[in-house]
Amino acid sequence: MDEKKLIQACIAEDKTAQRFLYEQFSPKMYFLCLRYAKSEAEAQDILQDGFIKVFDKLSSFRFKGSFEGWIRRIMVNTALNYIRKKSHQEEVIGLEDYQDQVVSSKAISKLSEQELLKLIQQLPDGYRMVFNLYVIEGYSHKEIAEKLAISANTSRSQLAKSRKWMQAELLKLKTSKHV
Amino acid sequence: MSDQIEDFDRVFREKLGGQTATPPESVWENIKEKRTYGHVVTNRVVNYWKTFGTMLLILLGGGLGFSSVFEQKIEPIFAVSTFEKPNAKDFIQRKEKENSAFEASKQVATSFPRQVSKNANQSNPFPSTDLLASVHKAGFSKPNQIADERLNTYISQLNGWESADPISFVRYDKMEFASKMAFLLDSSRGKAIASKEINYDYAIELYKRRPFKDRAYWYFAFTPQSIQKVMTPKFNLSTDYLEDRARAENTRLAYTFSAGIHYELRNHKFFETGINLTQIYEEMSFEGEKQFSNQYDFIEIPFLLGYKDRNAKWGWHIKGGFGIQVFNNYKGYILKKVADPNEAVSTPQTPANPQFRRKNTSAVTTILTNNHSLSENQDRRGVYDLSNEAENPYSTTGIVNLHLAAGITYHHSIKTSFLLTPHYSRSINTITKSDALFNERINAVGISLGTLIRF
Repeated sequence: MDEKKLIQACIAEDKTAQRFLYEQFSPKMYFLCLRYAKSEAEAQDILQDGFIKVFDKLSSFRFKGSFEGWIRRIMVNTALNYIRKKSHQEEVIGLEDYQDQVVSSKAISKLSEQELLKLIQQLPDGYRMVFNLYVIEGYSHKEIAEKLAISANTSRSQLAKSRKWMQAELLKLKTSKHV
Repeated sequence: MSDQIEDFDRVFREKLGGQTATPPESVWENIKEKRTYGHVVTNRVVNYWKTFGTMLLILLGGGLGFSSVFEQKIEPIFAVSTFEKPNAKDFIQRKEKENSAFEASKQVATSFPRQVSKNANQSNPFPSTDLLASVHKAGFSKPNQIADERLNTYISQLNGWESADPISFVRYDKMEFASKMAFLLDSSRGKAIASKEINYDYAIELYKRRPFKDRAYWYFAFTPQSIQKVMTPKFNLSTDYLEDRARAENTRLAYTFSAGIHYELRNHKFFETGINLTQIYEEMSFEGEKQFSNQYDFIEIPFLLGYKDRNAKWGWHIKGGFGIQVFNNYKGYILKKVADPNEAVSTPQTPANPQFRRKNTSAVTTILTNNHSLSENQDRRGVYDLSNEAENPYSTTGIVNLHLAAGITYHHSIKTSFLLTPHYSRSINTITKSDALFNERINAVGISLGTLIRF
């Protein structure tokens, strides 16, 4: 079905069209939610809230730019709001204990998607948001700063710390695999 | 180093950027359920049914009490159920002709039959001293509360007996002319009884029409209430937002001050009107912490019709009707529909300074100081400012409310009564503007504490 017609049918509360739209975009969006969430249950909550907003806001979509990009933005913002509301306590991480050893990208690429996903999910909330926004979504530090109401330097610092933390975790993983 | 970082990021981007995963079916089921259009959302009112149940018990208790009183009501000892006024012109002509000692009295009189019972006590042609002494009470009491059953019977036939004037009871033996012009209808026989068939002991003057001051009372009441909001989505709005509101909003105070006139009509009926000022104060909390508050002020003109009866000091009343809200004022904030997907979100913060906590703020203080400011933790973009006409979804006028009430009355004196009246009201039309995304009606249950003061 033509995307415009699909959207118009969804605005007219056509349940079949809504289901079709959901089936078309939910797999990608669910994986996006999994990256921001700490668990599958949280990801499902975010996906649900996000799609409710998508259907509520469909009439405000102006058919300029990518529709998938529009849905993705809603999902990302829903995820950020969800994390904010959940207000997970930030774990205190002693990054100074980590060695500055680096796991090569070749080694990382041997890891499965599920292993990398699990690694991201283990990141503290603040790090996870910045890492996802910068590395995966491609937002700039300035944009992240506006989105999260923090300074661009804080964003940079959070990203550096998240990389460092992940490197350390990858090193542990690598070591344990060798063992 | 920079290349290493870039490689590190690239691996993650490539591996996780375009991945998919199938969500469980339950997610779609939840979305469908939450987006059921037209689903009515009501806020949780803990004491709503408790209050309603208590009022029902009071009414049932009161009803049983009064029904037992009515069961004790004496049977009329005269075959009289209706008294009709004689022709006034005829009466005056006759009175003048007979040169009555009561010529000064131009009032229309109707007479009271002496008795048809064979009971010796009731055949006494002279009014008893006790009866005369009880005349004041007769004017103020329910018939079966005084000793003379004949007088009771008569009073029970009067309209507006509760304001019968004591001085209107006069000895019939000084008003013989009345017997010649008064007539009585015997409803059981369906025809008039000839005046010669009966004798009369007393005559009681009837007002052609009681003056305004005898019928009118000042009415004042205070009604604490339990509030229930009934919210229905419009247009394309999902119920998600309304459910969020219903969960978050906590009514701390709701009450109505009433001032007006209570005017007695014929046959125990009455009419009430005046001004009701209703104030509803709500607080919104997140994780136990007050985020913001709001206040609804409604000014309403009620038009109520009622019926009342009494038994000596105690009585009951029931009333119902409509009220028109002529001016509504809104202050503070309510939750906004949904966050704009393109709006930035605020910091995922742990509060830097816990001193701003205000969960123990007194509701009364907030109302008096008109301080409905946002908590430092509340994102301004997440709320509608009710003081801002462009954001406020509520109407300022034109809302019609249904009122129903029934309760008990304590007649403290001939001038003052006190009322305890369980009261139910609901808005018939929505209190929101026509372009608002939802309809909202307010149901209220309360117990009104009131007083009637005679003019």
